[in-house]
Amino acid sequence: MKKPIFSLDPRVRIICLAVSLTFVLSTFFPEAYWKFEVFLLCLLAVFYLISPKIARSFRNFLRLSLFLIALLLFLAAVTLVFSAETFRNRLENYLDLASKTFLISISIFVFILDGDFADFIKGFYLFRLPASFLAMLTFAYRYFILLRQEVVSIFRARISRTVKRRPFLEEMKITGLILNQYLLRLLERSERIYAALLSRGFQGRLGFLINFKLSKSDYCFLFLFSSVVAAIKFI
Amino acid sequence: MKRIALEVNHLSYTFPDGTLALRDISFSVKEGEKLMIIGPNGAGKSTLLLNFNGLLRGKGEVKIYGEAITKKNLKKIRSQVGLVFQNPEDQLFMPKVVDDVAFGLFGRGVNREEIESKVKKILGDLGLESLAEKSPHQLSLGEKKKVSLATVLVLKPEILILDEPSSGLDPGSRRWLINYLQKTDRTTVVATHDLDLAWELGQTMILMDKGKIVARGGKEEILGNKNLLEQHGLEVPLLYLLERFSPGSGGKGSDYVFSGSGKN
Repeated sequence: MKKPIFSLDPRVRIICLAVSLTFVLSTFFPEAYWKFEVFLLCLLAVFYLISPKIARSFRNFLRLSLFLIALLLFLAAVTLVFSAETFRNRLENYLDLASKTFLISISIFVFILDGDFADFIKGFYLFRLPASFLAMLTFAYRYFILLRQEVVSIFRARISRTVKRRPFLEEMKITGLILNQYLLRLLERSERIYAALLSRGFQGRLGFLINFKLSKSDYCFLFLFSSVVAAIKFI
Repeated sequence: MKRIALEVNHLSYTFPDGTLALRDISFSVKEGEKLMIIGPNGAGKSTLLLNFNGLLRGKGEVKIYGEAITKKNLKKIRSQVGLVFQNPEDQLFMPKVVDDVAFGLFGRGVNREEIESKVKKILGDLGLESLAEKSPHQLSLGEKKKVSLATVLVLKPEILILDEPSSGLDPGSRRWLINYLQKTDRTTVVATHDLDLAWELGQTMILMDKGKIVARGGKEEILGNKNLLEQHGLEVPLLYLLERFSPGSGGKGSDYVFSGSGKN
């Protein structure tokens, strides 16, 4: 399946994410036990409806799970060490934090990361967010892609010239040198990109050409999703 | 009589680390002229180009249509001089091709309808319509170079500056670029060490080495001078040899093949 069952306008995705975050952050234990479960089912249904490539998204989902496991373990350590007096209180605090972190991550994944991030930026643009924020988001996105390419190329170059494994300390030293090189490249690249921005008359504002518009189905989806979340919250 | 589009007077530039990159450069380019700046790596070609757009400011003077570049007129100068960078990764920074092409127009306050039509037209002219909604990282190097060119051409600059436009291009994309640049009647300045490209495009040549202009002249005069080119790490372009020593011309092409006696 390549196309999603339901294509969503980026603005609707952003609003749905805002609704989800509001719900998750304003719901507390003990009623959160069942409410979060129902909300998670709702998110999974949405994921199935709006995900463009199930297979690819599933792989992303697995990656996200690894990230989440690490995050939840970290939270467990933090809450158990620094939280309230009794073990029960500590456990409750942990469950509250962990479930909220989990649901927020899943919401971001379903509504934002699974779609086209460029469209998401355009969605923010249409909401008339400050120009500086948009510029930051746009350049961060581009930089992230370039940085990923740099990391891949540096490590490929290293692996291609590595015959046998070196002692740990030497490995660390080489990794440090690579990081040094990486930071230098970043600096050079950012200078060149800034020069390119200036050469085309950058004055601090970005503009985007929009090729999407809200349809009836977008409004319906937004209404339905908000209603379901409101129902979970207030019943 | 044609106007002087670009004039450089006694330009020198030193990098912050003290390296002297340009030494007393002076030349001028007439409106509609195609000037090729050739030279080995590290000759100062790219640094020189950055001075034409006000991105670097050295000692001396750079004039665009008689107006010296100052801090006050940078906006105007940058609308007159379009610079295409060597590495398209540096030039493309918007999330989608269509937004990157529109970027400069938004900066100039052009209205949205006009921007849409101009972007559509330039993408159509360069055969890039199918790439409009793609992200730059999804493109091949040749496509990225074409898009970089589109981002500058859409602004209709009076002077087009290209830094190593053919580097990394496959033969098809390179041919496309040469054909495109041959057709345009814009004042064009190209820095390159692809001497075949210089031979096909250029009317006048400047040979640079170690930050200095070491020769200036017509393309036959510079690109046919084996000794001069070899002294500066270059070799006579194959196209020159083909044209000069084709059957019936009576010459001996092997005399012009790189002997390895130059500085490299």
